[in-house]
Amino acid sequence: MRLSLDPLKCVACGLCEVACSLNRDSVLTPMSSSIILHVEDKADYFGLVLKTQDEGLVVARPEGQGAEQGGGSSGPGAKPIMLREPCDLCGGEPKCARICPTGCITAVD
Amino acid sequence: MFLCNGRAGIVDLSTGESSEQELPEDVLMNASATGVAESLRKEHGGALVFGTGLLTGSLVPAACAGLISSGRGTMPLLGFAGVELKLAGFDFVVIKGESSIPGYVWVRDGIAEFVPAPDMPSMDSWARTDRIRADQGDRRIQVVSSGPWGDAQRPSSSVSVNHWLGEDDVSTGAEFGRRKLLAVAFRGMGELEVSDAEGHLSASLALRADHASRLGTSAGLASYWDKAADSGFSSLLHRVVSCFGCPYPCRSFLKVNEDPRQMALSAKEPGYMHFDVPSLEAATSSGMSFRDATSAFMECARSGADPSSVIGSGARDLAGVTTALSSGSAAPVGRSSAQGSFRSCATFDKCIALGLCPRYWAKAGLDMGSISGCIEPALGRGLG
Repeated sequence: MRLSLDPLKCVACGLCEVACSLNRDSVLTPMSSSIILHVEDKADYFGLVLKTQDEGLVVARPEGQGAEQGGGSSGPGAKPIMLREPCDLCGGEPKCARICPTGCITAVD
Repeated sequence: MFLCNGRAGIVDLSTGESSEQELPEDVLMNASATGVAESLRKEHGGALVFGTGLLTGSLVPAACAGLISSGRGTMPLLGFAGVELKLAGFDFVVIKGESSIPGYVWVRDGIAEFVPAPDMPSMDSWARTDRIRADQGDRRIQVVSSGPWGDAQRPSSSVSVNHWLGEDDVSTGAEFGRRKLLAVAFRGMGELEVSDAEGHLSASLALRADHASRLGTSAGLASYWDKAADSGFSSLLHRVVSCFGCPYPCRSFLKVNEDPRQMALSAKEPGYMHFDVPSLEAATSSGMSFRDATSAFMECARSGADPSSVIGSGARDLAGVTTALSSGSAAPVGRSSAQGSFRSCATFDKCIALGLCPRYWAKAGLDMGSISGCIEPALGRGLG
């Protein structure tokens, strides 16, 4: 199983971030999630960055998806995604896919 | 304490000193956010109070709302601002007194402090937001900013939340100006504990599924305001954008400075996020196109001026708006009862008291029994 990201369906609700931390630590916060919402709000540009165990960082930009190293934070003030735990697919039922209201994040085999 | 921090941050602009005040659990669990804010406001000599509801930041659908309370009234705080405030470590932030020098209040990691910024009054609202984010090193800092109109304490001023207007219908911008307060910025790096994570998640998803079966998929503002289905609006639509946790968003971003179909990040300021129905009603009633209205709202947001008031005072086109913003002349228009305003939602007060978006819940139908079922697993107890 892996997560499939379709960033054009994203509405930037932020639920994926808090669902991830809820599963990991039973708390609501965007700071320990394996998935980060990247937002440039004045330009209405947003997408997702997912830290995976096998593919490194998967960057789902609205103009197209790819894997890359580094980056993945909203700035030096926030915890960079490279310092976070990689996605463990919540043991088989990814909470981010479950809570995503638009089908932007789906679990696929 | 589940879903709460149990404390308020206090910033005294007169002295520049900060402190904290404990908030008892029974007060946070049982009182409305509006009531607690009003109490704190009076206790601290007519302070400006930022607050969050018990449900703010939870998985209950559209639990995004906070509030700003001043002597002028209480405005909703939507988007991600309410959630970030709570995650910054405070349920409420009290800003009292008046500063002798201009500056902003910066809230994060359980710290609330005044930051002098003597050069910032020359900046417009958007530049203030950009500057604070650059200085503090984070693009997701939420900035509630006054602009030049707020600095001048004009009755038709309006604070922007990040870059957008539409929530301030009580001239909070003028309240900022009176205190030489240019902005309040917050970033939430904390966490909210919940009692039963899976129970809260499952109950919230079940309630959301019930709503979705009735509401379907959101088309952005067009799902809440019929005129946004017009081709003049939809031809400029870039993307639909949500506030925190909203499954049926009302925000539509229109691009006028580049192709709306352009997805790559290119223009720095391509357009405007529309959700301010009363101002759009004023613009369309005056004969303004959606393209011109979008440009006009961008100018109003930079100035910190309420578009309803600027257009309602006789600015019938983009040139008229520009002239009015330069001259500073616009009589305030009563937005409180305006059709399509957040406050016009029947359950506005109850939603803001809890931390819920009044617009979403007017659409979905506020049902306290269902909400209790969602939140009780998170709190480990029933709603007070």
